[in-house]
Amino acid sequence: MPSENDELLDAFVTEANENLVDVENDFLLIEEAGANIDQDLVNKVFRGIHSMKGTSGFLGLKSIGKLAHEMENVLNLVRNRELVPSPKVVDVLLRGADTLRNMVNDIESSNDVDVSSHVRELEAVVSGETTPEVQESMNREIDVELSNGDLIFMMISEQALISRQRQGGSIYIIIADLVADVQSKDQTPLQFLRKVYDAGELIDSYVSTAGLGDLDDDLPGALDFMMLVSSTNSREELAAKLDVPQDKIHHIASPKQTDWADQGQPREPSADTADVPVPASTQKEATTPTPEAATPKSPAPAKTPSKSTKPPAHASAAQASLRVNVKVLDTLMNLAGELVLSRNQLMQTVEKWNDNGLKSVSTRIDQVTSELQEAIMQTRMQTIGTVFNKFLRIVRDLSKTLEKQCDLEIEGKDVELDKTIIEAIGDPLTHLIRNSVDHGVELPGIRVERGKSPSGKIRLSAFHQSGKVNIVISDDGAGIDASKLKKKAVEKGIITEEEAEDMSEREAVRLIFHPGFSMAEKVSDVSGRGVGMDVVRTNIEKLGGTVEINTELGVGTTITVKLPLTLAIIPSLVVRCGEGRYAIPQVNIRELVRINASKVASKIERVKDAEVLRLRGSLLPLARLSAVMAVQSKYLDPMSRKLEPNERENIVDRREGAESPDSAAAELRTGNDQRGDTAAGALNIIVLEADHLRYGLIVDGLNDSEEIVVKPLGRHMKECQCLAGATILGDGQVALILDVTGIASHIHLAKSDADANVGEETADTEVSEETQAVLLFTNEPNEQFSLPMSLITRIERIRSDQIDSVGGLGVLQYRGSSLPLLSLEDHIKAKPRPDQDRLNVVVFNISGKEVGLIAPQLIDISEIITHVDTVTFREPGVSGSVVVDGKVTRLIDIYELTEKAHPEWFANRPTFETPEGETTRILLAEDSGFFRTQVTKYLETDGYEVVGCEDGLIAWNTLQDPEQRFDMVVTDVEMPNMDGLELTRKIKNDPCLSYLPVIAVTSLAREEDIQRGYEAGVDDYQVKIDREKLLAAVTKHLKAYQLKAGLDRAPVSTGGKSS
Amino acid sequence: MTSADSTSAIMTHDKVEYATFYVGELLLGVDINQIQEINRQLNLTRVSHAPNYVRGVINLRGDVVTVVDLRAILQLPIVDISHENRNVIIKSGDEHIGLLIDRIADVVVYKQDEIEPSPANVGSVDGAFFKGVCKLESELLILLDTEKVFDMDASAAASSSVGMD
Repeated sequence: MPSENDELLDAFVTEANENLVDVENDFLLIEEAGANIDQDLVNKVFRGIHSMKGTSGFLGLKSIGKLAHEMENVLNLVRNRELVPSPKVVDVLLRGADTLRNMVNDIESSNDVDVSSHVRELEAVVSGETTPEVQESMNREIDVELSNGDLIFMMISEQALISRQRQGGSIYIIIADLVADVQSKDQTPLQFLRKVYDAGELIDSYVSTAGLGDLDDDLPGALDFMMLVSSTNSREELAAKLDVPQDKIHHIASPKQTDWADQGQPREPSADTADVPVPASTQKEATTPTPEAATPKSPAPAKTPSKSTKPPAHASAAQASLRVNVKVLDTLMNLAGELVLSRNQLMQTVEKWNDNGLKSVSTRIDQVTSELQEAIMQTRMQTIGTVFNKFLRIVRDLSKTLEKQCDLEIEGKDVELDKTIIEAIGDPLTHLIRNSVDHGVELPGIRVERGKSPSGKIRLSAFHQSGKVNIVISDDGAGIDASKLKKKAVEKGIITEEEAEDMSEREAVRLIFHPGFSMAEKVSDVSGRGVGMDVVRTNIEKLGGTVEINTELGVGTTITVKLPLTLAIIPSLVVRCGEGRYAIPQVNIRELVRINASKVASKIERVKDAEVLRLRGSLLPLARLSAVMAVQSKYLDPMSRKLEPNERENIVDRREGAESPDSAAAELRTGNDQRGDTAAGALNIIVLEADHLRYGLIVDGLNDSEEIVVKPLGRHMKECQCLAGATILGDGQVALILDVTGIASHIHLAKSDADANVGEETADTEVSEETQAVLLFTNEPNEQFSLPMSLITRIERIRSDQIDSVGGLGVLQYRGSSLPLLSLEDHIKAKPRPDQDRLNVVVFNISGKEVGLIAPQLIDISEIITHVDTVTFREPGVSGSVVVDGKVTRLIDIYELTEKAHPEWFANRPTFETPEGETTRILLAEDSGFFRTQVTKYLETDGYEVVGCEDGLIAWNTLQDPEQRFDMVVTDVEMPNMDGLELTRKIKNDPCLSYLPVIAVTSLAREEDIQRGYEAGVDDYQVKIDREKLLAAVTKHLKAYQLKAGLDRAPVSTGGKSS
Repeated sequence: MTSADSTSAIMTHDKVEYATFYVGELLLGVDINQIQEINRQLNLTRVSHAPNYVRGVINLRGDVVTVVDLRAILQLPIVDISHENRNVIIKSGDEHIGLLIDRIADVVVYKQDEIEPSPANVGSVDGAFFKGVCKLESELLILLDTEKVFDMDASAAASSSVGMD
């Protein structure tokens, strides 16, 4: 219990301190007012002390409770005008408050403090300053029992009850179950107590410990919290307000019949007691003749110092933090956002001036602004411990209910997250934790059978990683059975049987995030609670986070939640549509696709009423932002640099229009079209993903990536589901933030649409020509080059001054290491790049090293058909040329280029050593001349002899030739006459050839394709065209083959080496 | 007649200052204490799918503020923004909202007893958004109930149901 209570204690200390600060001033005001009692003020103080009393009783802080109780009694008399708050009275109260503060600040040892002197003082005040009747009733203690005779509260001051009844309150006994009524309704006991305070006054309370065993025992099913409450609410109202069953609320008509009837009732006619309270005239007489009140004063000062020697350490700790109104923080946050925007504007303006003084000042402002923003963000940070702590109890109770044994280990409580995220993450995490106990951890008996310890281990940890907070929930339970999930998904009609077969285990596990897929409702009702994992996922994604799940059957499950540190500032892409600009959160963006005017017709299809894009063999539903936002789409006229209306709203119209004026205009587009605006005819498509839905959004133009400050939209725009808010851009204009999920539902994009695509994919790929995705760029603006997309690790945008020259080689310093850079003009026949401030660097991984190629101006990503001219521009580093959009484009061979620049990197690459000087012969089946040349070249550089064949049939015939001996077959998959898979099957079924290793090299990279390849019998499957990987695979399989050959077979081939 | 609490300014002070302005032919007035500022910040960003009376949003020193077109509320024809247009910024609940008006006029002072209940309609304009009128020598000053304007959808529903009676 202690660790869990720490959180409650902390909350109590903070709250009590807050109350006490006000109390002191209020006591002084009460004293000033004298008999002219300010009812509201006294009530306020009363409530403060009262809530301290109630909570301390709950927390077992007996001394605080006792003192607060006595102070409350005095205040109650004041409130009822039965006691005049003379300076003497207030003195005693203030001293009591001081002691309370000392005790609160040293909460651990508060129970050791002797408050009896204060109690005596306070009692003396009551006896000295009030009428005998009041005293009598104060001192008379009665017992309160239920109608069935159960004695619940003993020795309650009768006065406390009478005065409350006189104020129109009824007396209730409420027996709340801390487990069923408080904990399981996801509230802390403190929150529950606050509800009680709101509904009435808590006269006395205690936690019934009757049913409790040792601390080590599991908690009992019920933990009764007994409360004696006075309230003006009816029983029904109380039940509703406190969310407690009505049968646990007992109305006490008259506490202990006899006592009440005899003594309480006669005085009930309020007239006589109500007269006692002192009009101003009688006040002095009442205060002066009380010498007793003064005498007990003396022991108190002696007490206070002895106790106040301890707290200083705590006091200073308390001063180190300061409670600030959240509103102030929000304002600060907004202002910081403002400052960031103004800073951006300033920086833009300063760029244009060439004043060094101004530049250095603005750089300083830039820096300070960033730091200031960070510091302000810091103020909103809270530790995740507040969320984590409640899980101890949840796990404990839940495992008890389920008859399981679970230990919860918590790590990283100190990790901080933005307040809003802390508030929102509680529910999803609770659900995940419940799942771990319910579905993860097995029953003790089963665990023992499986050789595990009977008690399951659940680990909950939080840590920082690359600017995000990771929360990991792992259990050592049963894990998730992917095949069961698949079966269930098929039963529920979420996926088809074929899909289930093709589905990898990882994909299958992700099925649990599918809407309408709740394992819980079948297995138990504990985790279910009407929430599925899809809700968890949606909620986490709403926060800009992600959930991942890793599971091993029988070993356990690990769920990783990644959250951003803050919600207020999000990275986003600003796009243009019509004349407006819109921001799209980067988390939702999967990729950007640009379709040239000439490709629009072949890439975009119309299925019923919807436009779809052929993207790497699958169909992607498309939406036009102009249609969603109901604005006129506009394009940037390259001649006038003005926005002109885009007449053709319908892409399909362009089908025959490839040669029309549109594409002529597209030709005008040059490499310095920096803003990525759509020239007439070309399309910018942003591939978005949210809630399992993937779709393409067609926009008119792409602007910059920006960190934007999210501002809410006014209440009139609450209905705009396509918008998530607004932001203010660097130029002061408002831009709207798109809600990616909202747009999907606006255009009625259902999951089924996306599913429907799967079936069409296969047909699609079979008709498509073999193409390769390449990145087009220029070095000198008139010379266009291309790089295969498959080899690119990433693209960095840098400032030219970030490039250092070390020993004549360009090096980019970043992320704490240095990246060697290649400039095209240094290695091939290319014109030098012009000077410019910002450059792109395309990063590759070659032989385990990263290398960057400077690509000053990126043009597009395009699919090129591989009819490559391998003669005209051939040189080391350039594999050939094609014509893209009417421009000669040279294809860069990044390996050759790197090898030329850094030959030493390639010196000791492991290659297959052919035994006894024999030549290793590889048969290459490939219909594309370009790839044939390319692969042949790669293989030959490593010393293999290569025989190229134009299709599978030729390859097969060549293999049949007894004069030929081969050590390996490398084949393309898609070929005329006989495809690579058929060839492979024939080879593997031929007893004389089945020993040959077959490596498939293809551009079909989907899992199904790879699966088909392996089913056909290929030994390795390589995606076009990664030289490193291909050569590594060749080496590996040759070695294996050699080993096998040496073991069970002398070389059968009769032909020997042919030359 | 209309909500007494929203006119507390009128109740507590004898004299009330009104900022007056024109929308179409109508001379409208708003208690000056409700107005935060009047500006020409009309660099509007249109918001698709917003109600038709929302003309757009502006950047008011870092806050995104909704601008309501009074012409749309009063069912007058919408016109293009001219150099005479102004934005009257009013605090409403937690947010600031701009009222787009055609032309600004004077500030006038009236005593409470000079204000008469508003008629059911003024010309062709529904009186639901008015909380009173003052008679000037040559024209009628209509006091605008801004909360009803901003709560347009609810008010419209209420007034139409009243109309049924």
